[in-house]
Amino acid sequence: MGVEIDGLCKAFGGHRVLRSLDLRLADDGIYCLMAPSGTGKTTLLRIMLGLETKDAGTIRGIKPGEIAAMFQENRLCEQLTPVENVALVCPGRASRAAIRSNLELILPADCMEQPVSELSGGMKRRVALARAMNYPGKMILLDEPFTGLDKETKQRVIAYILSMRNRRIVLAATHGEEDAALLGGKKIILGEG
Amino acid sequence: MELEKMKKIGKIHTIGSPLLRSSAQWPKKIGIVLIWLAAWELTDRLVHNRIILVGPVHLVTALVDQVGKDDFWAISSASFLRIAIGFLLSFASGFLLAMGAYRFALLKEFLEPAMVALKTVPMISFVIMLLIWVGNQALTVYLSFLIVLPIIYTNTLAGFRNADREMLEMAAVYRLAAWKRFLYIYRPAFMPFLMSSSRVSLGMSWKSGIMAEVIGTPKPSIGREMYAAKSYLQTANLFAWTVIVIVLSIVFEKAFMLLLTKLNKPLGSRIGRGK
Repeated sequence: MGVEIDGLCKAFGGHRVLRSLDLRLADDGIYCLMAPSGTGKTTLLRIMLGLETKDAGTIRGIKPGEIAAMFQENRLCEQLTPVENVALVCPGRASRAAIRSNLELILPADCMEQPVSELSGGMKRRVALARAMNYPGKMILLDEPFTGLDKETKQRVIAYILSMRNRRIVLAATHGEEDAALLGGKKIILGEG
Repeated sequence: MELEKMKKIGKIHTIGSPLLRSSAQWPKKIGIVLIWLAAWELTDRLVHNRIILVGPVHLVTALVDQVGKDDFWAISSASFLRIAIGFLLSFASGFLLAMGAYRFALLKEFLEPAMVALKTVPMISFVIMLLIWVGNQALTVYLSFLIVLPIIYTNTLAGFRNADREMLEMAAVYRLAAWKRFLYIYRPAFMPFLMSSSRVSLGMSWKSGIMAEVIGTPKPSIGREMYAAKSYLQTANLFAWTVIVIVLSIVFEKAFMLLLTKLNKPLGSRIGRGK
C-alpha cells in the first residue's frame, strides 16, 4: 500500500510552507527529497513524525511511532556510548554485542566504549544514522544524513543504509544531486507539483 | 620535539600543570591556616578571659573533654538524626513535588504561593509557630524540612524545564519508555541543578537545625548543650560543640554529595543485554 499524502498544508503565521502537497511513497521505495532551504522539507518530515500539526490534508499508510528518524541535528545522549545510544531506542533488551558488530560496519571499533561527547562530528552523525537504521520502524526518514562526511565515508554509509533498510521505505532530505544518485533514490522536488 | 610529544601525552608535567600546581598549593594553604591559628592563640593570651574568647589550645582541651563523656555519642547522633531526617524528607518531597509540578501546570500554580511564603517568611517566625504546633522535640525536623523544601523544589523544577527540547522530540519519535526518558534525558538536565541546590541546602539545614535546637532545647541535642554552655558562660564548651557541628555537617554533606555523584553517572550499562 505504501504511504499516501494528500492535500498537506502547513503555515507558520502568514507564511505558507506546504501548499496542498500530494505524495505517493511505494513500499520498498527509496526517495530523495530535494529542495532549497526553507521550502518545507524538514516541516514535511516533522509532520510525518507527529512533531508538528498539519493545517489540512491526510497521511495514510504510516503513523508516528512506526517511523525511525535521523534528524538534522544528531540528538544523541552525549554521556552514553555509541552502542548504548543505539540500544536505547531498540525495544526490549537488545543485544549489545549485536549492536556493536553492526556499528563496526561504519565506525572504528575502538570508539565503541567512548562517550559520544568525545567523538568527532562525522562519527556522531554515523551513530545517529545507526540508531535510525536499527529502530524497527516501517519507514526511515533521514534529514541531511551525509553532512560532515567525506566521500569515502559517505560511500560506506550509503552501502550501510542500503544493506540495513530491509525493504523499508527510505525518505532522505538532501541537497546533493550526487548523494541522491549514490543512494539510487527517486527524486522528489518540493514545489514542483 | 620529543619533549613536546611527551608533554602532549601527559608523561611530563610542566610547572604550570594542574597536578603540580595543586601539590604546590598545600604548603601555602597549611601555612596560612597556621598563621590564623597563631593569631587566634595570641589574641586569646592577650585577652586572657575564658568567657570572652577561647584559643585553639583550650578549644582542643574542651573538645577532648566533650568527646570523652558518656553521653557524647547519644547527643551527637540525636542531633545528626533530626537534621538528617528533616533534610532527607524535604529533599524527597521537594523532588517529587517538582516532578509533579513539571508534569501538571495546575499543581505548579497551586504550589507557587506556598513556595513563595516558605522562601520569604523569616526563619524565627517558623520556629515560634512550630514550637506551638509540634513542640520542641520535633521542631528541628520540621524546621529543616521547611527551610530546605523550597530550595530543592525550585531548583529541581528549573532542572526539569532545562531538559533539551530536541532530545524530548527524539524520545517521542522513538517511543522511549518513561524510565528511559527519565534516566537519559531528564536526569542529565536536572542533576546539575539538584547537586548545587543540595550543597546550599545541606548547609542551611544544619544552620537552621542547630538554631532550632538552641531555641527548643530538645533532649538530648547539641543545641541544648550549646544553650547550657551559654547559660553557664562555658565559652570553651560552646566552641567545642560548634566544631562538632562543623565536623558532622561536613561528614553528612560529603556522604550525601557522594551519593548524588554516583546517581549522576551515565548508567549506560542498564541499557541492552550483555557486554
